[in-house]
Amino acid sequence: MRTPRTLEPSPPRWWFVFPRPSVGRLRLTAGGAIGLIIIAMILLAGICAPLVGRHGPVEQDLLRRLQPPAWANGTMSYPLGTDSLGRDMLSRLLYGARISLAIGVSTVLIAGTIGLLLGLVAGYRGAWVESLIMRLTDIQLSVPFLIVAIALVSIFGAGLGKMILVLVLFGWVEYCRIIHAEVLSHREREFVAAARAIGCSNARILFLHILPNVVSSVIVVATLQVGRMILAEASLSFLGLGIQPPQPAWGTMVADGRDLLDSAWWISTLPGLAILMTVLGINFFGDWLRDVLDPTLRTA
Amino acid sequence: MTNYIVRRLAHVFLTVLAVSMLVFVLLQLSGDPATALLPMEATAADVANLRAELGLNRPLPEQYLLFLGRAIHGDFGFSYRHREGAMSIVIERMPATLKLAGAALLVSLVLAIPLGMLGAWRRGSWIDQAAMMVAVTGQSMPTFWMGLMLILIVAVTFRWLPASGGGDARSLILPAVTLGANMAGITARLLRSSLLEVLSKDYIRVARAKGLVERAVLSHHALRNAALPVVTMIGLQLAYLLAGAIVVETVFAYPGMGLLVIQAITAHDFPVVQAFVLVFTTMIVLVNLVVDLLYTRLDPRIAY
Repeated sequence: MRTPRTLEPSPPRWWFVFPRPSVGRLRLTAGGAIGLIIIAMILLAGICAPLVGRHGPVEQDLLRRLQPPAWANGTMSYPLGTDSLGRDMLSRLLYGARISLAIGVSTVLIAGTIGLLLGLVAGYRGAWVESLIMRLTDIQLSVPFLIVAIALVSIFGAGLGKMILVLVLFGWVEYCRIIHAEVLSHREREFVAAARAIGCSNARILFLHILPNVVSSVIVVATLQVGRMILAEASLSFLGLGIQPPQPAWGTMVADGRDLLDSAWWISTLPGLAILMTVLGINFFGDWLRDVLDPTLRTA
Repeated sequence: MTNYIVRRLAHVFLTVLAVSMLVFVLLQLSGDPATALLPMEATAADVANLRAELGLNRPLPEQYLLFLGRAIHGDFGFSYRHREGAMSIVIERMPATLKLAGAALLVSLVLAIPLGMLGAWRRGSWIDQAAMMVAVTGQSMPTFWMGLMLILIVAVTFRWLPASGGGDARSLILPAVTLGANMAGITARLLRSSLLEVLSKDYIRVARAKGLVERAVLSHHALRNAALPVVTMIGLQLAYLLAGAIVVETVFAYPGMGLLVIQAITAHDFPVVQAFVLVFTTMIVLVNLVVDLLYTRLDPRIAY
């Protein structure tokens, strides 16, 4: 027997999960365009790192240490100068882009997935599951991530894996809280009641009916979080709690040049500028994305 | 209200307890203190004796309670480096860090209020765009790098202010500006959007209609009402301000808790790190509590 067509749940369409803003709203503003250009440049820098530098990022040449950049009486062999071990600044900066982007994107993906799932479950199931997860986020929020990073690193030593763990541990909360609030507002809406009435399973309701409605806020939060993760990684690496030398992480490079500020300013200045540009680009892009996808998130 | 305070205090207690558990677990994972305390040639029997003496052979939950008991009395053992109680070393540094955080908060408000008001006052104009550009840049700048650049420009090149140390008020200026500028970006943007929302309200139209100059409308009618979300955000940011102080203190060799803990980590001085983590967390949780209670003063409509 055929059931009436109108009662059938809509067939799963994967593209439905992704918001499709109308062409009019997609108009690129100056900020969004600047952000996109910067992000594209940093991506390109990371991809082309092996092609551009004539010297490897950890290749030392003690005879050519502390060479100034080309425009400040340096040579074209080292366009951005060398550091205290005679390593090519240009090459290190380009490889540093890879590290920053990889850590920024991977931590956001992991934290976003965890936060999204926990937020969906907390909002949809309610009861003790909800209070447990939400109390966890409360506790998490009252302890700054730097403190936990300090505790962990003091015992286990610094390293890439531990740093990612710390960043993820603190990244998920933001998604969890936003998704939780959104699910609460959607849970009682008619389309969810309708889906339940025609016998959709909980998983189906959650992932095919509720998720598409919250996904745009997740994308906005995630974009802006990439910038904050890159800043956090750089801070940890600067303090010696993150990526260890000789890896060319931007934060570590700034720390390298600290004691040489008065004689070799470029060692600290250039990697810091790279961090600033990257985060600035991501923030510009993220702000534009928020205005396009989800103006309700506009608070700060 | 009483009910609310009791609930919040319970939350404070739970958070500190959770952190103490974390500290204890980390301590357990850091290796056996008995082998670390004894000389290399100690026999297995010596180690066993010392373990019994220190209570290390008791079950873990019991050990945790003992640890908690000592922690309540502020006893975290002796710093390996300073031959002094770890707790007293940390507490000693607290005023310096609080002074830095306070000064930074002041700097951030001095920067953020004019920026946010400018943006809202000339919405959409180049002034607005420039003000917000400055704000986003402040938000995107790594604090440690900004600190180094200030040292490079202000202290090394022009020799206006000392590059490091925490002696007098002059040496507080650069660290406070560094820490404050970062927060100013977020505050300015929030103040702008909050002002824009308030400016669309009817009582603002009334104020304008009765002929008030724009400056009075903005500063008397709008700013006061736009302040609440900003104060909320500042309260939330205080925890990050304190954490940010750790980074800034390291950059400027400013003698606060942050510099102390970073040095303790490098020297594997675990008791100091533990004491720091617990003191710092308690401080932050209490600050959050005070901020929440302050809202009722600022906005009588809020009641817990």
